Amino acid sequence: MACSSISFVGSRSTMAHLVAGYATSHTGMMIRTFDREDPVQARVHRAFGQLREEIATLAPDVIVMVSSDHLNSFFYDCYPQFCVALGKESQGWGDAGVAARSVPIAGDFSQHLLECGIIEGFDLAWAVEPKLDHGFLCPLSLLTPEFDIPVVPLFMNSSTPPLPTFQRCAALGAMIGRAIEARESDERVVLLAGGGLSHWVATPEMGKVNPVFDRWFLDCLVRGDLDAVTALDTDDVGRQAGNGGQEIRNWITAIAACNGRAEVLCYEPVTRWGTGIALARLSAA
Amino acid sequence: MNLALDRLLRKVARDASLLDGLDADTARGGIEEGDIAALLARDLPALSARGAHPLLIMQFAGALHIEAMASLRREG
Repeated sequence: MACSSISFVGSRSTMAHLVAGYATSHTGMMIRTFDREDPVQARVHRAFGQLREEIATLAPDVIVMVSSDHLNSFFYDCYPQFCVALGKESQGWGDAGVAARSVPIAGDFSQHLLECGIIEGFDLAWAVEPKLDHGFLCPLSLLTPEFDIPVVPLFMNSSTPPLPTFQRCAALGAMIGRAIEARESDERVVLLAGGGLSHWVATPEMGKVNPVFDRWFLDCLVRGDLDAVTALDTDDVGRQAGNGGQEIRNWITAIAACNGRAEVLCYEPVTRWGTGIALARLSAA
Repeated sequence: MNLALDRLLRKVARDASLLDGLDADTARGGIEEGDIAALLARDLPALSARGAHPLLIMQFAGALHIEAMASLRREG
């Protein structure tokens, strides 16, 4: 049974509304080593500034954020593929040169997401107030620097095999989209994905970027061709986009939640940061 | 996966002073001497070659103020 199908049982006059979706890279180097005199890096930060203003204008009540932990909050003793943060507030790790901040958690929304997941066959792991590393804190620092918007952090395993398939990530995203629609509230929801694009982490290829893959991936999202990206093979992505490129899962999850297309706001293959940096607006088709 | 190395790497990344007391004689729990040697040498390419998780290598590099990209690319 779809989550939305049970949500209409009973009376309700309002429902949560997905007002916008965005996806951005999350490397801490964007903050740690930002060179204002570098025109490429300046363009990236201008794009973040544009999104920051856009999100402020939207005045969302909740941000549902799909990103990845980097073996800071989770380790081999208990390692979730997908995990939702519950509670009231999480602290930042202060890793990767991104300042530690307190992040308000939209715990009631998180609980709703968990329950919708159960109904739809996603038995999501959960953690109460897990610390958040740069995967979350870097985009949030650049987009919502006041940290005054409650967040639903959803951890995606994009680093530690076996990784979830891209199809599964898209299915998760679709479930998240339905869960937002099924939410009995008048909340304005922004969806945000963090990660990617191509980058090689702690390998001899570190510093390499593959703009051919990145542009192909972005073009698929612009065309709304989710089938093309969910047909990707994990090993092939590793070869083409690096081990860090596996974070495109976060983008795929978010665009599936929006059920739509992407508008690329910025793409720069920033070799100084060793990452294909992209920012995109996601919208319903 | 090199489980023993990853466990030790994670500990050292959180408390770099552990490295001071580390030598071949402290190798326990399946940690090979080569793993210890790579840690003591702060040898990121060797850690990578020995199967350490890339994210833990990055944590280790951060804790010890090693420029990971330069170190890995120079050796690679």
